Amino acid sequence: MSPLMTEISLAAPEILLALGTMAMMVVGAFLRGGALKPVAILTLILWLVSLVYIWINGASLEAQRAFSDMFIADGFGQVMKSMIVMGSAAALLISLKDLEGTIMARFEYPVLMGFSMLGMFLMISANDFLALYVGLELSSLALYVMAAFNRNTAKSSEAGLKYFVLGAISSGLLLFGISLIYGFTGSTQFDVVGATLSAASVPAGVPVVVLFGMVLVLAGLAFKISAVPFHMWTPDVYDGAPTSVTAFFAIVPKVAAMALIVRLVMGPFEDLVSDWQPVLVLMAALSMTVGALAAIVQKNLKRLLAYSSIGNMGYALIGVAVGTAEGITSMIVYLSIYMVMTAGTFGIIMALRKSGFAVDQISDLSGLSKTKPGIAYGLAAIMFSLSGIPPLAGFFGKLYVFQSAVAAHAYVLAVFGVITSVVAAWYYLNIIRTMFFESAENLAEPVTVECDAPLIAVVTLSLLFIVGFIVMPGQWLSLAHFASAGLMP
Amino acid sequence: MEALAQVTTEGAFPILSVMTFLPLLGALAILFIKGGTDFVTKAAQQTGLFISLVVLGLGIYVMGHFDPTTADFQFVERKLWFPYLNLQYYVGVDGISVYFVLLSALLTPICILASIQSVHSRVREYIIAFLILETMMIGTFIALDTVLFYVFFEGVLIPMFLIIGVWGGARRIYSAFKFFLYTLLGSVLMLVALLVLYSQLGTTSIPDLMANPLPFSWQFWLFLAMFASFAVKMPMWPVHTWLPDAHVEAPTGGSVILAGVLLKMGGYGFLRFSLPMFPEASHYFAPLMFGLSIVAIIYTSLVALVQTDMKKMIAYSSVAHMGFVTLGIFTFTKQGIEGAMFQMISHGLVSGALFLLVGVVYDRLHSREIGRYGGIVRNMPIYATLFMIFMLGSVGLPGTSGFVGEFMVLLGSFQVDTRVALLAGTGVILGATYMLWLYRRVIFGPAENADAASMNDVTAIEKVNLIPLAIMVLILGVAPMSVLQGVGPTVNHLLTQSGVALAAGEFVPPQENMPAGILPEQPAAPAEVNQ
Repeated sequence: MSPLMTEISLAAPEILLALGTMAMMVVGAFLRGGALKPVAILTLILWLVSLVYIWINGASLEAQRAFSDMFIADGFGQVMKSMIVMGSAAALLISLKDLEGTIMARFEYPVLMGFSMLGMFLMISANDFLALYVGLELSSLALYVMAAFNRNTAKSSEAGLKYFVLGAISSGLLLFGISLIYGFTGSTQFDVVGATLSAASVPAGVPVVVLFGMVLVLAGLAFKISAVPFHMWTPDVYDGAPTSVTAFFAIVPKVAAMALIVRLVMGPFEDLVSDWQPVLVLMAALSMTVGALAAIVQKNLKRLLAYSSIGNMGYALIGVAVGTAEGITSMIVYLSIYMVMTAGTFGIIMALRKSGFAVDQISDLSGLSKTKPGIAYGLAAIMFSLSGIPPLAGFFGKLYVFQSAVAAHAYVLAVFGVITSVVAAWYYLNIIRTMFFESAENLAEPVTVECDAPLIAVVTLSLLFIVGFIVMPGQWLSLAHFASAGLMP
Repeated sequence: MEALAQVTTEGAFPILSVMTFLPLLGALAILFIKGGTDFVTKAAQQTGLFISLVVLGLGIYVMGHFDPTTADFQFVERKLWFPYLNLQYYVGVDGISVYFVLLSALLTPICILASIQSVHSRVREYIIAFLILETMMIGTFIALDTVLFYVFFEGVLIPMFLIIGVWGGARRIYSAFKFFLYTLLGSVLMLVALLVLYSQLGTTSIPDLMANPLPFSWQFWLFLAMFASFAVKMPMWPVHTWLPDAHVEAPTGGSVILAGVLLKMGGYGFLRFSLPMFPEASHYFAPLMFGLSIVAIIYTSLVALVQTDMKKMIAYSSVAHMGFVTLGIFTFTKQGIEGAMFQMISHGLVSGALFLLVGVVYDRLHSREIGRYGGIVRNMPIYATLFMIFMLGSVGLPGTSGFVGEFMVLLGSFQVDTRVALLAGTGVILGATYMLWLYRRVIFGPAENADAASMNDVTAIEKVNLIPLAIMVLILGVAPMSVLQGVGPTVNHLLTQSGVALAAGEFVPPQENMPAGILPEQPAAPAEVNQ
């Protein structure tokens, strides 16, 4: 194979996704009447093919670089990209029914998801600050449009605009940080930056301006994973965006941004560990606290889930903050379990309809255990799992994260984490209380169930995973270990 | 690192796993019963009862084939469970846990039987919840891997939360939340302690951890973290406040399991984790534990005295009885620890039966107020007799099981510190006061309320539930060796192990904090010099 062909084969999933998604746009434009269904099916097939291409050369233990070292393909990327494909597929499958018959039933929906996914792939495989930035912006632009997808409602448009403005600020921070780092190192390529910083850090430590740049870059990325104090947009966007879009936001983009943070702190910033560690520890602690406390007072289900996701990012950040291979593994385990739980939660929420829309108030769930017992028990299992009660999967995610923290002697962080998880348990229990201990009689309007086969399949799979993880954890864990093993020198 | 020889060979019938997971399978089967409400109710009750009786049969078999002469773990099963972290599915029983397994297996069918008369809504879910609860309870006592233990220990919360919240009384939501969050907060600290143990010693196997205690500086914090969990579960004063609420609001079956088994998890935890894994810290904190136990015994007895709600009174009396357990455990004497074990088993039978008895009259009159009853002995002679047996068992009258436990604990604590024994002794008197007074007001006295005086006596189902328990209370009272001989070797082993750890460790306990005579095995303890 010629060098060019090798490089193309390394980036095959991305190239395939780019060409395929553009083709979908053309197909959609030629089909009549929204054409959501056919394009969605084709898109799913396309994603499946790209998933195959991610793994077509087997698991790669050695990192391979391409396109003047701007692009990196390794085991970590393979696992994270697979998570993104599966998360996006789940988000698309559960939202088909919700979109049907509304103004949003348009072919652009899966196409935008595809572009966003492409951007995330590029983020994960970025080995250069410019590649990072281009991937991030591609992914974000698609997300801004999706937030405003229900363009006839002020709420959705507001969500899109808010997300866009705040996202633009965070991109500005990121770019400024990159420029500072470039100013010191003279390169945007991760390996060169890493080598320069490493050489500079040995006797005297790097200059303050580099630390400024690093913190700004981390801040820009923290915005994407909605870590405190860069979380302000999350509740508003989750609440304002259409529920199907919220599901996608909750499940997928954070995986890519988290992967990118790992890439940076384990790559170019590896030798500045004592400088970035406090930043990440602080963000983790704040996210857990705010996520736990602010969610308690929420009455709106989507806002509650927004704060829940802020808190959960805090736990995942613990894994990154401890800076060990164990930590990265635990982050991947945590994030993947969280993804499955979120998919199940949103699937159930979207199946429950009230006057034609997915339910969005917690009180809408009153007495669900009497009226729809199956769904109530399913949601209760997910809520117990989210609050980290064994024997459900969520507990093992937390176990892994806290284990990595304890192994790295971060005892205070671990104790802090478990205590906030008890506080957080309060609001998850509150949802269970509404479903089980309250009656449906004082509901103004009855809640009905509408679901189609893909939604049922996603919810069932996620429930099976949550309940059954304890029995067969092996395969899942070996993937996570494989991903982090390649990353650490 | 292998601490103990394993008696059971590989490939033997996995009886402990079957006991643990059979109820779960039963719950699954009940989930899929189809038909009308009446049919489902009947079928669920019958299946639940059948499954739990099979488990009880298996429990009796385990007890029968249990070798009481050794401290080794028996019926051991071991399999890799979580690769990478190297967590094991590792179960087995010794002289401490085997009785709790039997107690759990005994009380579950009783609760299911009692529910036939008292639970009429969502019966299917109720039975499922109890079967899942049984899996979690038995699992907690047989687990020999710390994470496996934690999974079961904590998993109890899910069914119990629903049992209190769905089938409970008027303030059930408050009580369910209080129960859940209190217990969870304690438990998560224990989780951190377990993870620290794992990261320091590289194993999650309980026998290995028991054989290799860490230095005192570690033990100090780990003991406190575990203490947070077990003290809440016990419950010890001052973290006992969830218990009266949970007991009062829970349905009868929930109260029976709470008092009978869940409280014992705290005592079991102290015996399984705190004593062997942190021997120096346990000695170091013994005065604190004595203090808390004494407060629990005296203070909660006084609180019990003024209660007007029967369930609340029994709940407070449970806290007082658990005070005897912690007192006995931290005496580090053979009598004290065996007495604590005996007290736990006896309390499981007696308080479980007392809650059943309250349930009997509650089903008829829907009131737990003591003042609503009185003079019911005329119409309910059998009820009065049974009540008397269990009341006396709770008081600790010689001839009942309650006496043996309390007496041995007092004996053990007397060897260590006479003042402690004296103060604990007043608890026995107070116990007699409130129980006898309760009995007089409920059973005897003028029949002021016509409806209370005209209640029917116990039904056949209630007899089936209560009479075996009464017989057991009496048998244990006159023949305590039937339990003690099984407990003995394990307790001896525990004491030797923690004694060896004390002697071998470089740790010298700070003497100024220790009352005289706390350290019986300390060869050169200059206690007198310090005074």
